[in-house]
Amino acid sequence: MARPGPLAVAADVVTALGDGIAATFTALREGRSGVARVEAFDPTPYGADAAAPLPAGTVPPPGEGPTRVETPHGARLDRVARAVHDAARAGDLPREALGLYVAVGVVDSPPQDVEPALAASRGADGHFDLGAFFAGGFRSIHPHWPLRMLGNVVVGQLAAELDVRGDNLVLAAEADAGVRAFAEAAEALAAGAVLAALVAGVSDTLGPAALLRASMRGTPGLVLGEGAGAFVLETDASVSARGARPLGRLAGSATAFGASDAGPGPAAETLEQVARAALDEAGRRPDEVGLVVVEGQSAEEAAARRALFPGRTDLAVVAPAVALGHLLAAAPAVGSAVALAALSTGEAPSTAGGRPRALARGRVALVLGSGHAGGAGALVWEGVR
Amino acid sequence: MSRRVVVTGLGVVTPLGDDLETVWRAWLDGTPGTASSRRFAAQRPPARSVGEVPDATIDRLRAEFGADAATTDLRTLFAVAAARRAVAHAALPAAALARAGAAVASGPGAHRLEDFVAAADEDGRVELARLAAGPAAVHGGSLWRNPPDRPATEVARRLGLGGPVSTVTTACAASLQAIGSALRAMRAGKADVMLAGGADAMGDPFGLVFFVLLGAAATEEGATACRPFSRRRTGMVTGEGAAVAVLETEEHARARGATPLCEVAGYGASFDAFRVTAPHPEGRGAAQAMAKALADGALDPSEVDYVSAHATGTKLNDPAEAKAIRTVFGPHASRVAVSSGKAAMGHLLAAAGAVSFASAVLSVARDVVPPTINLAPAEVDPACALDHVLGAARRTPVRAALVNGLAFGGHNATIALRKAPGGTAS
Repeated sequence: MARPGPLAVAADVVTALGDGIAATFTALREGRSGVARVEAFDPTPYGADAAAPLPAGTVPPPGEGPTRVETPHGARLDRVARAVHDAARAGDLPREALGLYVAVGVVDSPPQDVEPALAASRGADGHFDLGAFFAGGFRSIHPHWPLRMLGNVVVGQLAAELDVRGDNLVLAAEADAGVRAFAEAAEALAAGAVLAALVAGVSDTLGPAALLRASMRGTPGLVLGEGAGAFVLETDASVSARGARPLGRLAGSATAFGASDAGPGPAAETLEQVARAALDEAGRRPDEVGLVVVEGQSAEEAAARRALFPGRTDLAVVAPAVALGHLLAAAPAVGSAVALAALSTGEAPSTAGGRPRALARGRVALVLGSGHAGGAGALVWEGVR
Repeated sequence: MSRRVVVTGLGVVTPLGDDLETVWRAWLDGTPGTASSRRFAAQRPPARSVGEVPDATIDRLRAEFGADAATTDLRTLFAVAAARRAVAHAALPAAALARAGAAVASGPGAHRLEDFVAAADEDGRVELARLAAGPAAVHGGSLWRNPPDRPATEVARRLGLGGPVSTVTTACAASLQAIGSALRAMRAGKADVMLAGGADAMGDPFGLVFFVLLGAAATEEGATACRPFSRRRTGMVTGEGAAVAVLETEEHARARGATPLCEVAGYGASFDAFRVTAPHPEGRGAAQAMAKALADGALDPSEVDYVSAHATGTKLNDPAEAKAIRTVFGPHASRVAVSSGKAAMGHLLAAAGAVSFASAVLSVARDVVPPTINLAPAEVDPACALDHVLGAARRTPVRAALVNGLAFGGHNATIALRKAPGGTAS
């Protein structure tokens, strides 16, 4: 028997197409794209020339506070997490009853943090000398460098600033982790560990390091995006007690592992397996699904979709990455926000250059997420009346 | 009624060895596993002591790892080795592995100093395009080759796992949170078998300056540098390694004839919500995590005979954790044995909780508690007064135990263990 999953009572995103769900969804409906030629640096050595960065000013740039750890991924997390925390009036909850579950992309060491130490660690021959580095050159590394490397520190910093004292988890590093963050929150809520859960996903930071990683992992040309998404999930009882207005229900979630033999990412069978498991948990059948949010990156995913929905011509399929770039750990949160907006308006944006289309049936959306190594995840969202 | 989860296998890779019984004997004997860095002896790293896995062991683990070993970082190597040992210890059949999941903690990882040196010009300015032009020169342990989820995904790929797989990156609390996550997933019916634990390795040049820059590294040299709960403590000593446990639902274990080592009774996690580099001085978050784990396991504090403390040997952690233990246990605190393995192995960071978990599982199964080394009775900091196990292992009934992991960022995690229902393997 299906158990009722938690209700979403707040959601927000920042993407290349805008600040907030409405801006992003409207831009997707209008067929706009945030993908553009990379101008901030020369991308050609890395085999990619396009990406979908956040527009300047979408989130405050990382500062240089004396004690606060400032990073680009921390700034994006702050922007969306504080918004949903406020929107959900999560500050009214007992502080131990609010959990925080965040999927974070790979956090790259800023070379400029380390460059002074390289310059200060030369041997007699003028070249870098490890003994000189250990003897004192390392002291020229930026003092916040160690904490910037720990992707969890900005999560802990957020918790301290919002006084969140409950259950928590930080996961890495791609879209399967983004799905897992929702699943962890749902399991914690079902177990009674918290009354409400702030769930967030934060992408990698666009820069040479991220493009080098994509090229070294056999995915040159991957169009990376930059963004973040966050939700507050809450039990039915807590929503009723607090009078919150639900946006939708996370009715099911599942993750599994099974690498494709044909290339990066999970096999079609693995994606089909997680989708069926998430639908089972939701007590739903595939023919009740009206919308699928896909990554749109692999033939395996397309094969899984065909196996799940054979002969369906009325299924709306949305691939936000086409317009937003691939958001990796943030993709499931952003995809979920797009799904709830579509369920709410009854209309799915086209991400294939066509026109928006009305959702033909059902108020159920399936969101898929994958990891490069073979992890797969699925979320099932139900609209609320 | 939620499903009971038991431990049926353990695998470890530590500075004291990569065979469970060898390491267990070393823990009981108080054998030190930290020393001045052998790997970088000539260059004298500022971290004066470190728990390194011996090079000969690493060579053997690389051969065991097989394909891609040269472009695999140590934490991934250690994670796969520990997982294989745990599966062998549990005598888990391949059919069970195909449905099993994994929750593996790892450090988020930093780029290698060697790569920045290779990409720098004469003025020290780093141009990453140089690495893109010659990717073969990128270090085998590089973050570009080994993202933080690689330990978990290699465990899954090489052992043929098909269940939920996740990577937890909450620093020093991470592997206990991975075990807690696995426990919840199994209780929720998402898996019958999970491999859970963590791996970390910061014995590289950046790792050897990391905690010095944070002001948390011990200033003494050699095997006695880390002194948890001591008035003479000066800081932590990093170590490297991994520990993985096979967790099964009791029903699954019994059905295949496996005898559990103990039950994973409960899990609690919290945030200090205080400062990211310092614990709450009253141990507020640590106490909350312990209290939650006890409640989750339906355990009364008086049933707990042992606490495997996080106890890093830093000025701030140890008294805060001691206060938290006294808060949670009240008058019973004086009757709870407390010890920490960090003086013996170093702080294995993302793997630390899993290694402490492995040790505590054996304590519950075998009714013996390993000592905290480098701590003489007269040297116990009064602010850390507890029933410390000093000098030698203590034979005592261990009905239940708590394992603590407390992290930079303010994450706290506690796992509660108790004797398995219906009998325990030893």
